[in-house]
Amino acid sequence: MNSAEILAGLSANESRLLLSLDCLNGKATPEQVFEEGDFAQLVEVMNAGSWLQAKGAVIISEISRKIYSIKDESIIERGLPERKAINILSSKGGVADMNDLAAQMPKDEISIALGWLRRKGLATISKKDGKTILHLTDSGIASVDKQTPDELLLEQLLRGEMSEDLVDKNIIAALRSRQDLVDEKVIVTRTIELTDLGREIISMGLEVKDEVAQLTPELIQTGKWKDVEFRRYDVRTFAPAIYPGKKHPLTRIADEIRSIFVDMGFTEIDEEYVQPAFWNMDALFTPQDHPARELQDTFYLKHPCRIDLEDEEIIERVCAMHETGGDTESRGWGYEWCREESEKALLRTHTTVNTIRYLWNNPNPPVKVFSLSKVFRKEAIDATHLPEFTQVEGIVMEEGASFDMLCGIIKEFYHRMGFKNVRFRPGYFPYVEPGLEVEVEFKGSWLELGGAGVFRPEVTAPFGVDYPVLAWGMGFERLAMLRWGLKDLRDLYVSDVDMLRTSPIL
Amino acid sequence: MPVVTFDIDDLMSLISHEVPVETLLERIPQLGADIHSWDSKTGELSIEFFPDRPDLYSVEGAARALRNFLKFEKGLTHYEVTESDVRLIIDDSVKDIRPYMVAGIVKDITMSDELIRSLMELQEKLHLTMGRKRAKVSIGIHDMDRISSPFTYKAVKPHSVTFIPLAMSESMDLQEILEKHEKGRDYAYILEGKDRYPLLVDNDDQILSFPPIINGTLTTVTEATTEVFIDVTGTDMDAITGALNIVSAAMAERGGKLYSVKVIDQQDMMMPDLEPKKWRINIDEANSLLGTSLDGQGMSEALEKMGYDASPDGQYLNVLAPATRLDLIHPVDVIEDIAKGFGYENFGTTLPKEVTFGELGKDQRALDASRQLMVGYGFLEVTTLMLSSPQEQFEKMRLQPVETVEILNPISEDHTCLRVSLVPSIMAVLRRNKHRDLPQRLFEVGDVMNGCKRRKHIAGAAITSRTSFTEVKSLVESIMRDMSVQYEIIPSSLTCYIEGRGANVIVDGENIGSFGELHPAVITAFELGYPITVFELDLNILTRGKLDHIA
Repeated sequence: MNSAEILAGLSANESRLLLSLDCLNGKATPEQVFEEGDFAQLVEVMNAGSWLQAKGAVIISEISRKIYSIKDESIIERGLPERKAINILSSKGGVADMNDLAAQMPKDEISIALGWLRRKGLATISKKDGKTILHLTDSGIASVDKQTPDELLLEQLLRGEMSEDLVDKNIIAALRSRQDLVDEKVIVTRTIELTDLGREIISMGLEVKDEVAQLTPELIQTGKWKDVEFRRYDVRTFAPAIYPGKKHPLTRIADEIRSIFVDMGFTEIDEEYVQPAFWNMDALFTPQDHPARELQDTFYLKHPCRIDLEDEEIIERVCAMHETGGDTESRGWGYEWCREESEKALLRTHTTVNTIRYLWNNPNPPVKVFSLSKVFRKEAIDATHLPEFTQVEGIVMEEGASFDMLCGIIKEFYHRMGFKNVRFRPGYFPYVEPGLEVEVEFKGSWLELGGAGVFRPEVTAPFGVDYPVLAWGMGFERLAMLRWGLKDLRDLYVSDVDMLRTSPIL
Repeated sequence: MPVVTFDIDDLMSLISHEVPVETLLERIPQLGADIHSWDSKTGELSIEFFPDRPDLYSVEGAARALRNFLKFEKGLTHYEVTESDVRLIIDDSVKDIRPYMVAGIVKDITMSDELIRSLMELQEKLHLTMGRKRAKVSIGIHDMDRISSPFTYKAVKPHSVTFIPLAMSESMDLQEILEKHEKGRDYAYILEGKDRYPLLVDNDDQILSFPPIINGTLTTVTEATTEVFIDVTGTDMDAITGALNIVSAAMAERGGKLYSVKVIDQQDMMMPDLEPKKWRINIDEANSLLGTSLDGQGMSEALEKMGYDASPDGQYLNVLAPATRLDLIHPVDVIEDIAKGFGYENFGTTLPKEVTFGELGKDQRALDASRQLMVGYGFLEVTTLMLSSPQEQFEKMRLQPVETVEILNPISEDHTCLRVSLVPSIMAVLRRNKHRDLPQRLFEVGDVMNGCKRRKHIAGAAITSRTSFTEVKSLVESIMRDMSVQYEIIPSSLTCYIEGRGANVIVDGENIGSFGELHPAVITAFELGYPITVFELDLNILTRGKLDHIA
């Protein structure tokens, strides 16, 4: 901000303060400014000072000082214990027995008196014939008729509080070490001083304008607004952050992907998490001894432990497919298929369950469906693994569907997600053939971001599906991590509230 | 997926052509594999092969495939197997134990460091993958010097014989091996419950091995070995003959001469059988599946790059596939190799032609509407895990447990069931954020389980130094109003709330959820220290009948 901008944006109080300081030779305490009479309250001076300091027109410096005062006057009026002792000793010719002292002084003051007499070097204490004898020293004798320096200071303090620069540090420290004698408080004095910029602004013809800060309903409704001037604000000044309610980053990116699918003519499908192994594995031609079916990869259920299968005709065909390849050209897996194994209850491990169950009920073309939903795998939790995550899966089945069409639609899909360069390489997924892996160019390097393929005839034949089923899918969280630059998957599911508050919408 | 590590010089010498490493790194993925790592200092190249291609798990097999794919060689590699009079007798006693064994012989082989390393790695990978940790397939390789045909594969009583197993210096009986030998302990599970164990002996009853556990020291292969006997046992005839083919072919690639073994079983077989497998591919069907318009010649060339021999025969392609390709069970498997030979970079030219109309899932409108509302109330959305535990769902919430979907093999005590309520998940998020600024207002719309079925719920929680029942009641009533639901509010007996500060929401006589001020014991159970109000409602009921129409 230049000086002209500052000048134009000064409030009435800021102008007043600058002008007062100018009159007070460019430097004054807020109190001094207040005494000039231009301000209604002292606090207004300081407020204006802070604003001006932020603009660079003044500097506010602070000096803190210790101020001392008497805590309990009565103690001093009664005299210090050691003064009483001196008087007694003096009356005894400068030498006395402890017992003499004890006879003339309150008990609780004796030890105090002895301590200070010694510390100040006013008397010596010795033992003789089992008696404790006190002797006034030379300075003790000298002080009989003269106040000691600490007594002098106390007397001064009785007349009024004193600043630290007017008192002897050692004496005041000694007095402060005694109970209930001297009080200390810290006083901060602020000084407001014009800077060169402040002087420049004053020289530019500063005047106090009567300005309105707040536009009130009254000003509007009475028409007074026509006669007032509104103070200009410093539009660059700090405003506190506010955070709106927001959809979670995962939801936002899921919404985007759903709309890409819907725009491309796909219908969303979903199914239950709890499935018999049949739909998750057997219907997809996964052999019953496949490692993915083991307890270390898949969550099986204790309750319910098994689920009845629904469609005997389909079961029979799937069984035949596993054992001999059914009526296709396949050789099958060549083992004896076990129904019990396929009735085991599990948490689905992929959204392909949705697809195959959909094809079961909709075997005729055209089919264009998608899933964006949760799946479960037995993974220990760390920065890159979670036991549940979200899969995205797209399916096309129509007359004339082909591997080439699959690659074509994947390109289109990824382009719509913003990946301009997409390439393919062979990939292996048990229930597709041919299979492929999708790679996209992201920030200058190629990144594996999904798999795809044409469903094997062994998968589709039992359901009476006569055309190639094109399928592609990808891990959804990985996409979200790329998008939001996250390093730890767990942040998506047990999120940091500050991350949610500050995560950008675009 | 199995990662196999090759020495680059060994691989190059087997390819027998100079290929820049960059070319290899670029072409190998197009053959069907992931480059796992390449270290130019040690010359070690690690490749992750797909689990359907065990024929590539050795440097010899990979080099063979690359010679074809890089066009240094064309078509099928033929391996000659000379007949020998060595016999292997399969005794009936193994039929209930581990029914199958096949075997082959390799002569004139030089056991170089490279070959020994490669064979060990190949054996290990085959055991792990197609061998299903030796349960389905296990391979033994023996020096033939001190043994003589015929060999017998039989089952014997656990304590009936002793021999010195590899890595040991003293004789042990079979049961001792299972209990004391490292490999015995590792693989004893395969023979669990059997009263007899498999054994391979020679003509003089000398013990070659105790499959699938361990070989004897009698036939240890050393650098001096020139003649080996390969045995493969298992439970699946196709798998063990395939494994024998893969190991034999790898050794033939190293210059070994293959000789057959006559396996005398229910019917006699000459092994290894490396005769190519015949396939007949319909050219139109292949083009239609791939979306290509290749002629028979073009397809043949693509297949030759993938190590097949192929010749057009009218509308068909007569194909000879290597006997090491165990993944070929349907013509589509051969067709995929046409695609690879043709080049994946050439696909992606067409789009679906049928007109279809897109549509969101039936719950999406309900979820969207709820999110819009909650965001408007200033709540932040959270998305939490379905996996939970009875402690979190019931105990910490001071609620009576209900039936849940329980995991048989959970990863931890915190993830033993699927949740029935969203509020505990939101509480867990609040717990993570206990050092963040208050107030915090969070909501979730998502799945909970009702028996084995998914249901959509909406839930929210507000934690502030002063939160009140009125605040959450206003919120719930506003949601009901905005969702056009007629409802009734009655006192709740749920013990997660402070007594007298919890309410149930009733719609058409049905309890669809609750709201209120959480009991301090619930708040402290989640390690929090400020008042919290929550609500949770059944979203399926709130939106029932309202999602299907616009007007």
